[in-house]
Amino acid sequence: MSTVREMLVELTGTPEFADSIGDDADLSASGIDSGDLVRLVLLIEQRTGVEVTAEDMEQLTTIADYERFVAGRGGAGGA
Amino acid sequence: MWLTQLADRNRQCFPGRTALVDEHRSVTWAEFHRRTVALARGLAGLGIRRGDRVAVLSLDRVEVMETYFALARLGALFVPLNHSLTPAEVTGIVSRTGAAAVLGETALLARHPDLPVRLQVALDGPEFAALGENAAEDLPVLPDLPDDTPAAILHTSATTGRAKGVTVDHASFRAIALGWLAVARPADGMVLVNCCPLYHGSMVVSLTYMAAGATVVLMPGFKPQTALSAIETHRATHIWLVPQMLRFMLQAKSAASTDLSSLREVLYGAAPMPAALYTEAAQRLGCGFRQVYGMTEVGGPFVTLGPEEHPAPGEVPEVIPSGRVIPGMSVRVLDARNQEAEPGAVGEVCVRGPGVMRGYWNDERATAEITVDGWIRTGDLGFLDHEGRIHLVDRSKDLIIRAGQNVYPSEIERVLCAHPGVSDAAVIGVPDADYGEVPLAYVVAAGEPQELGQAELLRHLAEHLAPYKRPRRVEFIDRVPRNPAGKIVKKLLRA
Repeated sequence: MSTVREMLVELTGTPEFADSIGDDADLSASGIDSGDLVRLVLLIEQRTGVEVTAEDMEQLTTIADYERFVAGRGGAGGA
Repeated sequence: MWLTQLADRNRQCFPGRTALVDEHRSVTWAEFHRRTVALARGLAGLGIRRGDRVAVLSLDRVEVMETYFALARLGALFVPLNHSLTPAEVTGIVSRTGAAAVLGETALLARHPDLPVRLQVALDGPEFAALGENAAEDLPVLPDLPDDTPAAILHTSATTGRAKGVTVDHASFRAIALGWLAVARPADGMVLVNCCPLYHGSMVVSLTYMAAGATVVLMPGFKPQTALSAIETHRATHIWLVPQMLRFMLQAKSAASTDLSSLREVLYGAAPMPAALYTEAAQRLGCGFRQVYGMTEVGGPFVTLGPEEHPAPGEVPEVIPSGRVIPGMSVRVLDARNQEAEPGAVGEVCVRGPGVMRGYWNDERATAEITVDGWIRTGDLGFLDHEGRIHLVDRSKDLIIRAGQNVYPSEIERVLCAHPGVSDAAVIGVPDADYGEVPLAYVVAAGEPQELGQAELLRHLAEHLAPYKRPRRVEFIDRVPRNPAGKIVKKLLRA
C-alpha cells in the first residue's frame, strides 16, 4: 500500500520536491507538471481501485484531499 | 481577412449554432460575432491599433478565441504565451515581440507582475466582460484589411534555446483551412473536443474546423477524465489530441463507463502513434482515426492520413505513414545534395505553399536558415511512396518530443552549463511509457559530483526551465563524448 504522497514521490522522482509540498497545498500551484497531476490520478485509480471522475477532480486539489477521498471510498491505499 | 470573414460567414449561415464551449459558458456564432466586434471596438478604444502585438496568457477558454478574433478584426497580432513558461521566458517573448498589451487570466498575470507592457486586462475580470458588451458607435469603424495582414506570432521552441516567433498571416490560416477541409470533409454538426492548448501551433486545427461551422469544446488543460466527460456531455464527433493523451484516456477508469458512441474520428499528431496504442484505441473506440502532420512554420497541419487509409487493428506496421499533402500545399523530399529524392529514398521533408509563415519575427537570419527557394525545411527525415504518402522515419535534429511538445537538448545543456558546479553537460531523449520520450541529462561536475548533488541541479533546472523541459534525472559522468569538431556524439550516450 502506498500513500498519495508516496505516489507523488514515485512520479516526480524527487523526494525533496514532493516533501516540500504541504498536505494542504494546492498541487497545481506548487510547480507540479500538469502531466504529473494526470499521472498521479491514474496511479491513484490503479493502486487503490477507486475511480476518480471529472466531477471528483474538481473538488480535489491537495494531497490531503486525495488521501481523504481514497479513504472515504474504501480504497486499498490512502492514509 | 480570413478570420473576420470566417466569423461573419458563420454568423450569417449558422447564427444559432454553438461556436465554442468551455467549462464556464458557451456562445453561438451570432453571440461570438457580436462580442468579437464589440471587443475589437473596445480594444481600439484602449489604444490597440493595426500592427500592434498583444500577448495572451491563459488556459483554454472562450475568451481566448474571442480575443484572437477581435485582434484579427483590428489588424493587430495575437501572441499566445505558453502558461507553463518561467517568468524569464515569458518576459523574453513579450520583450522581443514588443507587445503593447497582455490579456490573460488573473492568476497567470499575477505570476508575471513585471511584464513590459503598457496595458494589462484580465480575461476573467469585469473590464474584459464590459469590453465585449461595448456597443458604442463613436468608436473607430473597423476597416476590412487584406489577407496578407499578419495575424499572429506563434512561438515554437528553438534549437538555439530561445523561443522563435513564427509570424503567420490570414492568407496562411485560409490556405491551411481550405486545403484541409477539402480532404477531411467534415459532416455538418461536427463537435470537436480540443485537447491541445490554444497557445500552440496546433490551435490552427481548431481554427480550421471552426471555418466549417464546427462546435469546438475547449478545456483548461488536459485531464483524461474531463476529456471523456466532454465527449459524453457534448456528444462530440471528433477529438484532437496527442497520442499520449489518448493513452491516458484509455487508462482512466471512467473510460469504461463513459458513453463515447458519438465519436466518429480521433485526430492525432505531434508525436508518433505507438502501434499497440493505436490497436487498443481502434478496438475500444470503434471509430476512425486521422493523422495530423503539421509544423508551426508551415502554418499548421499540411499532411493527413484519413480513416480509410488507416490499418486495421492487429495489422499495424511499425510506423503508420503520415499521409498526403493537402490541396494548395506542396511537399518534396530533398537528399543530402539538395536534389529531389526518388520515391522510397529518405531525405528531408520540405514544404511550400500559401500556408507557410511570413518568417520568424525580427529574425531574418533564422528565416533564411530554414527556407530554401521558398521551401521550408521541416528538419524531419522521411520518404514519399509511389502514391504520394509521406513516411516519417526520423528527425534530423536532436529534438525530443515529450507528449507532443518539442524539447531541445541544447537549451537544457546551456542551462546546466550555466551552473557554477557544472563543467560540461549533454542531454538526450530516452523512451518513456507515458510521455513517449523524456530528456535525460548527463553532467560532468566541476568538482566532486557528491558535493554538487542531483537535487541542486534539479533545483537549478526548475528555476530556469518550464516543467515540461526539465529532465527528471541527472547522471554524472567523467567526460561528455565529443567529436573533433566539439559536437556531442549522442549515440555514444544512448549506447
